[in-house]
Amino acid sequence: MSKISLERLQARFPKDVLAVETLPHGDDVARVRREAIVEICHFLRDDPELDFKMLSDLTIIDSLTRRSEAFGGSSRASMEAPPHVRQQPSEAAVRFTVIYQLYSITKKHRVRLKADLDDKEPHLESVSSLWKTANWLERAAFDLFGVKFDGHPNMERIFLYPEFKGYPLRKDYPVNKRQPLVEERNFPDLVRGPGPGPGGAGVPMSQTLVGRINVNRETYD
Amino acid sequence: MINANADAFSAEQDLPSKEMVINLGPSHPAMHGTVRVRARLDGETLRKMELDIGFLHRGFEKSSENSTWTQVLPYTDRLNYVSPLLNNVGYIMAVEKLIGIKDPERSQYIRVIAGEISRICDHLTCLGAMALELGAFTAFLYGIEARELLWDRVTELTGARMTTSWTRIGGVANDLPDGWAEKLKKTLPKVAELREEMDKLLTKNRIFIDRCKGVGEITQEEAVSYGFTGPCLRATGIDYDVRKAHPYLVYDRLDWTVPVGTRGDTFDRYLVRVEEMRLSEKMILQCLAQMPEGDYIVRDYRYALPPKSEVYSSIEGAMAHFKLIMEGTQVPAGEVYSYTEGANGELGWFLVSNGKGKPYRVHVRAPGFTILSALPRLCEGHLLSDLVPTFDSINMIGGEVEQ
Amino acid sequence: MPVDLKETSEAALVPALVTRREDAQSFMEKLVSGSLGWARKYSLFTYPFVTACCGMEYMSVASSRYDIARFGAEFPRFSPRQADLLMIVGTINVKQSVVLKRVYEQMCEPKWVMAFGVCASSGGFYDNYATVQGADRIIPVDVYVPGCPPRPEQVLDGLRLLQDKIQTQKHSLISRDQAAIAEDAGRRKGFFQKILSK
Repeated sequence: MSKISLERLQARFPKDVLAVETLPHGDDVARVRREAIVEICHFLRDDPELDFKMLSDLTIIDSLTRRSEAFGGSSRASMEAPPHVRQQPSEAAVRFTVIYQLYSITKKHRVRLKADLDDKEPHLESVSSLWKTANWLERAAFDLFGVKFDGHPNMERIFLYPEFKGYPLRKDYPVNKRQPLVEERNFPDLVRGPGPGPGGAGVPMSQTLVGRINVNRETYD
Repeated sequence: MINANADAFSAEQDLPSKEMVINLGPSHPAMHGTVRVRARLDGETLRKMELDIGFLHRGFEKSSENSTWTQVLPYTDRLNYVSPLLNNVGYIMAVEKLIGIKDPERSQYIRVIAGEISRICDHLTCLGAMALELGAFTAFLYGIEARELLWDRVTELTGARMTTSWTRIGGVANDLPDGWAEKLKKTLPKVAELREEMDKLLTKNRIFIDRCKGVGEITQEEAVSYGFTGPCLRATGIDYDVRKAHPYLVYDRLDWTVPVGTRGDTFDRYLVRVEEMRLSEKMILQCLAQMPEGDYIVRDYRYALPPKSEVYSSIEGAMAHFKLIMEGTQVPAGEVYSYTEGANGELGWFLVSNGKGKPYRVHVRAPGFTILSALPRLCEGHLLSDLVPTFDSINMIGGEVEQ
Repeated sequence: MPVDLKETSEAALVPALVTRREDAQSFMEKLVSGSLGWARKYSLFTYPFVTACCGMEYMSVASSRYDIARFGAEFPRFSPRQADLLMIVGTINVKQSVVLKRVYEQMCEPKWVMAFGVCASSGGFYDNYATVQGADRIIPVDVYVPGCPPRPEQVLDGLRLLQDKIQTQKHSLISRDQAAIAEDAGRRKGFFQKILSK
């Protein structure tokens, strides 16, 4: 059943569908040209045999550090992949990939569309005219990755605030770089327990101040 | 007489009035703490409504990408904190699908039992809160007490009341405790009693019906276009349930049907949830009857922690333990979209691995997110007071919607 | 512990009964403060600033099994102007911090704050771009209840701790800082002088 949808898609758009594959665990994936995304989605939605009336998810992968993370750090050691799992081909050339998960309630099948974007000023045609749910999903993708969707009715941040600079889920955004809106109170640091940080890492319990205010030093030291 | 009335009516119509913009939330009892509504009112009618979310955006995806595969598990609890076990199961099943392993049969049954308990808790909380906000405080107390009874069992099973982090790659953390099944069998009738009391208090209650019926209606086509899943979609009459359409775990061995509504309004959503609680109880009892003996976690030590006796007595066990703890489970490179039925609908996980101990990308398709985006559509044109039952019936959970 | 004889002997020289005016006043103040504290600690009106997971436990605390009403903190008020205990229930992120600060500023004195759960206390395990590392970076906090989320018993324990704090802290009938009183007195003096000079 799923094979049919991929074949049908490829037959209809021989030029715009770059590759199709069925992954070992059963997901159908079609990589498409980004210029044709709306046309393809329109076909998938309205074709009676495919009938993808639901856009269940839309997200983005930032492949900036995908290869370097895989080969840096500790090795894979003795852990080999099960034989049925193929290694993915190299994807480092493209940075942002938009992922669409489509579902058909009547035919009970799914397909995943992928569209690669340019590195500089990534943008893509919006599908919010086809599925109403795309409105918020695209806003979320824009908010966290900075990918602009052309033709979207309201391309603004959804989770974060307008003052936020940068796009947090990009791999080059530091994990805990905060951009506070309210000036944070200045108060003396709490006495820290053992753990990373000042007064914690590598310091024996006996030298920290935790719980030691009321303790007779002679008993413990 | 008739003329005088007509005059009074026209005089009312001619009263000078103008549109008013009011702001509900984000800290508002009916907004569940995290949603801000900017409503444009004409009298008491909602003309236009804008939602502002993100007041609980906690950077779940970024944090997950900096944790090992197992460390993501606690974050998943806190997505839908009303039914954490369903999230645990959903996430772990996605990882297992990516690795290509299947958990033992007993573990599958345990997961279904735990998940369905969680589903009951979720619906109890949702309906209790809905009743509370419509003024029925008693029903809320009954719902919460029933949830406490179930949470007692969850605590015995997992060690935590709500944030359980209990499933593991390849199974679950521990077997059912001794005598737990019997205790659960005694608890379920008590829960059922409270649930039926709630049902009696609400389902035939004139006030409740008046406030819910015909409010927040949506057609099937629109619901699908908005990406509705779960009870909200089923209330419109579409019998899409992942457990039935694409059975996972042992749902295909259980005897149950999918409850559907007819109109897709708030009252139907309420009825579907009540019916689902009954079904979940039925499923739990079936699982307890069918459950086989056996392992509760796979014995493949590349993915599952070996038992402590082996860690302390054999070098292989110690090595496997060390590697799993220090490097994390090595998940083969690839990507996967896995879907299970969460309490609010299809809970999808899109995971990307580059073959290391940490996920490269974790994305959750939260059912509530797409449903919440339809809230203006559900409420516009209705009274402002209709916003409250509609908002409650879609069961917006800040954690999963705003990640 | 060895007893320091010198200190005790000095202390023994202080007469048992003091009738000086200041001391009598302080006795009255203590009496008033103690009774106000007693009244205030058993009539806490809470403002549940519920944002996240801990809200589920807040429901448990408030409903029949754990019943926070037994300790005099029964009635949640959803208007900050009517509340005197702000319960920060859940994670505070940067976007929310503005709201939190405003809600706190809208509350009338005397007011207390409880950080409910580890996210409100220290940010918890959400150490990333979005979350504030503890509500005490935004507003002062009186009691921290740890746990993710805390069990209801912990919350009740935290409430008892807060009640102890309220009992022992200083309450007065009209609290005005000295600068304001001096300013007020100066203004009055100037006013009378103006009248007299006419």
